[in-house]
Amino acid sequence: MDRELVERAQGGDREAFAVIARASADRMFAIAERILRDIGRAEDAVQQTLVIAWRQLPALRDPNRFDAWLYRLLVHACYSEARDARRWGSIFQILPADGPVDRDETLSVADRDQLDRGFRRLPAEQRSVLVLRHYVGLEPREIAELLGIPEGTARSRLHYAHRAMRAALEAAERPATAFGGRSS
Amino acid sequence: MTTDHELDRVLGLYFERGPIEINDRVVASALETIDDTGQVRPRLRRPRRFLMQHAMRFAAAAAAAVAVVAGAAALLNQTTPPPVAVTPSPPAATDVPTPTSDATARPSQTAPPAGGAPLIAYVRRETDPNTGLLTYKWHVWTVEPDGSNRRRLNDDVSVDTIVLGWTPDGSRVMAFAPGYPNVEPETSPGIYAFDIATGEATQLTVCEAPCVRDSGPQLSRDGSTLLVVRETADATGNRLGSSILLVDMATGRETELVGTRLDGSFRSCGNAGSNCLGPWIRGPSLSPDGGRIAYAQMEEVADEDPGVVRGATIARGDIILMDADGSDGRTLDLGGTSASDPVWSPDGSRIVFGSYVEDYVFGTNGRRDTLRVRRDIYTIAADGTDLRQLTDYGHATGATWTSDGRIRFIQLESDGAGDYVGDFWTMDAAGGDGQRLTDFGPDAYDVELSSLTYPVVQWRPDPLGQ
Repeated sequence: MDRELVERAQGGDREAFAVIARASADRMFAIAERILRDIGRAEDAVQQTLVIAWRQLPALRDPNRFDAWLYRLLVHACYSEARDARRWGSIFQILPADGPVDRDETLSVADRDQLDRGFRRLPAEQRSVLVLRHYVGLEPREIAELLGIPEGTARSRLHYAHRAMRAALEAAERPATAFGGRSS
Repeated sequence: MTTDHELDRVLGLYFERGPIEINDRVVASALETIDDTGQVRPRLRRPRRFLMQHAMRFAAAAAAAVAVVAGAAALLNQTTPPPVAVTPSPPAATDVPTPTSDATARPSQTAPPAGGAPLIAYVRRETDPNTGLLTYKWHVWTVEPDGSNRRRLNDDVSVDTIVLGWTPDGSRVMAFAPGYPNVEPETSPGIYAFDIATGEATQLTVCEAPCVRDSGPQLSRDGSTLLVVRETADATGNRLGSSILLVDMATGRETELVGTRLDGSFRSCGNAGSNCLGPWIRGPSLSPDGGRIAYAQMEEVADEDPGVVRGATIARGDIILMDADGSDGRTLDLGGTSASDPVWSPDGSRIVFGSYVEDYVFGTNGRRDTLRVRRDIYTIAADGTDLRQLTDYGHATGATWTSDGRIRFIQLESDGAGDYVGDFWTMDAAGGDGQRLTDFGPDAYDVELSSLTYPVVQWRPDPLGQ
């Protein structure tokens, strides 16, 4: 993000902050939606992040680190939303599938279904590191720095999340039972 | 078997699909909110009033007025500010000393205060002295109530930020070291005690899988046993349960006194579609005679408020008393109040605890509620009678006792940006005569006196036998 814009916003320039918000919102939304797997909650997380960012911006010491700081606020907003989501009983909601597809090009319906079940069972902290690693493309060290956690913790969360997702994927490869469930 | 490469590819595809553009109205709505919102620079607001008995309110107000006048007169005369407010709340802002602002605090070489002099323990994230960047290490520090003489007790053992406690004699601080991988030197996970004079760390518990954390450490007065809450989880982080352990300090033998079991993290509850977390245990407190234990059992329940959207759940807690061997447990009747963190009074006659009340606040957009947690301070007699509410403004937490039967606690104030900062106060057992003990202000962040969930700052206990 342009340093001058950030500094103007830090000084209370709402127009500057609006430019920043519009430039950042799509990316924030995409990340939040992938962590939360819920468009409404992702929108709320972005809104919450923007309002908090505006209020806390004067406290940002290094304007060059605005993007990382904003993503950290976003991830914490997602934690908050995920906590509410848990309370509202939507953790096992399944995304609509778009019909059969070729596995070589993308994921099968069964894969996506099982991945989604596995992903939604993960704690928000593990979801976040998965999204930051596989969607944003950050290395564990960068994830740790962004989230303010030890690198070992980031690696540990990734490890457990990968294990859960691998198990989910392999469950999709087993034959379904006669009752539509899956064999154990 | 799915290879790492295949998993990487699949997850890339999985996350690739999904919306990438936000609805313009969402950003517009946020910007409208911002138009009505100022920016916040860290500062501490004036504290709110305590709940006091009606008969005391007039006297308190009069005394406060006197204090304000006296404070103003002192300023006009350019005299040295009085050391600490000694009048009922709310005190004038000039009644307290200005703490030393030291955002890049380095350890002091000054010896800790001797005996039972006031001292505050806290957990602080370290900064690299060469680069000025935050590191991944958190250490136990102490600070005097006026903000001076900040000392890091130990360089080697990294601790987490939610477990902290003093030994009864005030000579050591206990904290939980998670044993973070890649944080040198490697540390065995468990509760450690840090000597405030020498910094020497002694491991008191060993937390190995499925243990994920030991919390709420309380050492008996004679140092022979330690009470902790042990939380367990499976390899994917699903919680398995929590239990109160009695650890024999001579042999290391652990005895489970009481525990909760979870099948994963959630269970069905209340309205259709609800998933509830729990139950879990917090805050065991051993009575002064060592004969009984009070603790809180928390769980999520369905919110039956008709104004809340179907399926909402809230957390609530009960205070349970049992004998020190885990037998004869009974739940106190708190008149429906949700509670946590009980602490016995020095004479064993009463228990102070914090209420923990969650509810939903309807948002202005008409479709999103936010969860609010209100915390107040109550006491109840040890026989389960005479319940008293001492505060009513919703942000008082971390209550303990002073040796003379007053209640020391942390009063939290919103900083307007979603977090809370706080300071230590005391009040009498009736909820009156509030006296402010610290004024950390923005420095509250540095000493981590900003958590609404756990008080990660602990005042040194008063000397035993006084």
